[in-house]
Amino acid sequence: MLKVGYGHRMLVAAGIAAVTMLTQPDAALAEWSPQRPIQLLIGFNEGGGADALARLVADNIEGSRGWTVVPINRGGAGGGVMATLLRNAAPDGHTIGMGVTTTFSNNPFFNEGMDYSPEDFDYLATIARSQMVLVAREDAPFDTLDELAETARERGSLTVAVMGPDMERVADMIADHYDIDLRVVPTRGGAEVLTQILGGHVDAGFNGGAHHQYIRSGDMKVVVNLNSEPLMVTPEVANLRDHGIDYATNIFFQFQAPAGLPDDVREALATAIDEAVNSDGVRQLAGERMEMQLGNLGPEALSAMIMDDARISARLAGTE
Amino acid sequence: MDAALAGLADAMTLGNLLWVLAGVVLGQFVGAVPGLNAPMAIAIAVPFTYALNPLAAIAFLVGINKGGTVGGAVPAILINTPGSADSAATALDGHPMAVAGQPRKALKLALFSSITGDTFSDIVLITVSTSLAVLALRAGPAEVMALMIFALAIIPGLVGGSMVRGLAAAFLGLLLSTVGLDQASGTPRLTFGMIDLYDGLPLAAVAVGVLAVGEIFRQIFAMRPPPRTAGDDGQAGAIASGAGEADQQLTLREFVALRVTLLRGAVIGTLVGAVPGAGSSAAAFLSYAEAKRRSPTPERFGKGAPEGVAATESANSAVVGSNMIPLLSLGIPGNVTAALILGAFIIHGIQPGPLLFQEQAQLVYALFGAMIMANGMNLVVGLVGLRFWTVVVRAPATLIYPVAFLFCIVGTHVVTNSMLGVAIMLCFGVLGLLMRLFDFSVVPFIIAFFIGPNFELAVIQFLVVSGGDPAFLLGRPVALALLVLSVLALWHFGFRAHPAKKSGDGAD
Repeated sequence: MLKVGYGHRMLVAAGIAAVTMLTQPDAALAEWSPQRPIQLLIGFNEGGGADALARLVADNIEGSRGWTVVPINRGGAGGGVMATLLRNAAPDGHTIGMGVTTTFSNNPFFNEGMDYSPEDFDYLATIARSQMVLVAREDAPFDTLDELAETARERGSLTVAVMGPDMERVADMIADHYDIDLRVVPTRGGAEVLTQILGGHVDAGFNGGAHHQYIRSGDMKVVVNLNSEPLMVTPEVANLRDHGIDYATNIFFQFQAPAGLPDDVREALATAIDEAVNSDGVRQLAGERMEMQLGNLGPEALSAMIMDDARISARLAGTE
Repeated sequence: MDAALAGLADAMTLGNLLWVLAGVVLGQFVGAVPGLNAPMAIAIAVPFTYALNPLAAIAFLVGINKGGTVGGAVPAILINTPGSADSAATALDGHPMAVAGQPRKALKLALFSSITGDTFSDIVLITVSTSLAVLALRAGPAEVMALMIFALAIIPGLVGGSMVRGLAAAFLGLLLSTVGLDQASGTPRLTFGMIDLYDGLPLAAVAVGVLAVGEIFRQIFAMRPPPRTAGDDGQAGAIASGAGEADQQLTLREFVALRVTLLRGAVIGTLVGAVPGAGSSAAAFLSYAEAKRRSPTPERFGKGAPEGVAATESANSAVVGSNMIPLLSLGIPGNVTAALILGAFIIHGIQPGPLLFQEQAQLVYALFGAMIMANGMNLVVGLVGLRFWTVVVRAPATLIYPVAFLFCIVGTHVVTNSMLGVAIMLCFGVLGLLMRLFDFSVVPFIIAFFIGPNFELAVIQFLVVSGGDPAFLLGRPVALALLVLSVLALWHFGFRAHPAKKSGDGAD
């Protein structure tokens, strides 16, 4: 009986809410809040820095808004598992995803079987940028990209360790630009790239953060910056555009939802996430501990960037 | 030296002691329950340690990890359902010992061997970590590839009666390890368009399915309709009604007699664990193979030889300590568990790597202190635990196996987050049952499945780095030696030992 009574009260409350919303559309706009727990699909497996970051943002939103946010780890296929689930969820604000930019701007174009496109999502916020670089051991006979090309010509070829197909394409661009032979060595990820470089098994390799300690310890040097803006640790290193290669990587940890969110829902989510992203805890974890470049681009700039990158990916994929 | 003392003092607080104890208890528990394992518990625990101070958090996770390797031997020995590839070799001799009426002795042996291996590798970690890490770095794609070929060459000859069946099982494992995106070009293989399979068949689901559920199925099918009569109680009951108290004792003399086997296992585990990407699953088997090869009575292996348990447990526990060598001094994780712990370090603002010992020496020594505490507690908790588990296993088999099955389902769902993972586990349970019924050892299968992706990548890397030139190997003597040993091992197991195998088959 109690349950029925409670249900009646809920119905009445919902009715009042509905009437209020109908009669006061402007007030409702600013006050959207979820009707049930929000599912946060994390595009990484449990236990990593990215997972911790997503959960910290979820905690912050729960604290500031009183909403319930349930983190669910759906790693795999470079975020593709999370993106596929998210695309198939209802665009009502109760399902959002945390992942990385290239899951949307690159994967659908280069990886077979990715059943989604960048237009399938509403982009909400970024947490921080992972700055990508090409590094080599300190005793390598080259300091810059031009000198690397010179060495490759002298020796016939050089080996470059990559952490995935994205970086393999960058290696191909560099090789094409200088007309040199770069032999691409696939690895399981950034940490293994560093192992191969330190062990002297490859001549250079790509990385996005874990290399900082080796720059500071003097064991490695940055050969080229793959981003459009200067690096945090070694701002003096030239980027690809300085060398005449028209390309820059944009890799952010970011939040998105299925495309077609009502305006008030998008506004409410974006604001809640923005506040969480700018909280001390998140800034400390992403900025100081994970050594990434902080900053929320916001929904408009993030969408524009992903669409621009997607056009470049489409062009590159078409020529492959 | 000041940093070392200050660090040890930091470690020895009541709070840390309790966190280590909690980790060890949790680790031994999840290790001992079929279907659950330590990496699972660590993955779930990492986000929750955010609220702790860094030392307590890492001490807790290290405690789970160390407890998990000790606990992992329990189901392998008592009910022949190892939860991971690491403890699969423990079951080979541990379970026959238990069936022969010495379950507590087998557990004790596993516990002491485990602690010996772990302590050995911790000492190596604490004393020569940095130089060993630099040495391990010199193992490149050629060496890793050669080590895996060596492991694949010796494993099929190691278990079961037939080398051909062993090889067939190993190749099936390799084949199934190729499911998912190809590591070089990102092409999906054998995924049938299912995006959940793009990262391959989930390791936990396959391991739990083949190793534990396959055995559970076999036990359940072997049960007679009226299970109440004494003789039909199944294997678990047979264990409990085994030998008397005297037979359950592990004397110091017996343990000391195993010192060479233990030390060899600890060294093999430490070396394999220190090489990033070599795959810790191979260490236990390399140690087992070496113990069997050097034994004057190799025919006892697989039938309850204490050396078999000592060799595997000392090696797989030594991996736990030595995995921290590349992790702490280079920031490079050697296996899944180490990757999870690396994540926890970063979350707590500790960047393992070349600067760690300079910038945070005190913390590193505190961590070493916590590791030593964890070893001590592993021993105490393990001694209490083995009494507990031998009592638990006295429950009728009709209860034990269904409950274990339930834990397998729950554990797999927790770690894969999907019913697909559970479905995959059940399929591999059926495969494990069929393999057991038709006398194919599941051990070569699971080892090949685990090292498959690393092996494939090492081969690709070797081909790129060497430019496809076999002469490249001449400059890599260690790799060359391992390859030659692989050929010799195949010859040894495949041809020289063949007549003996024939007679063994006849006896069955």
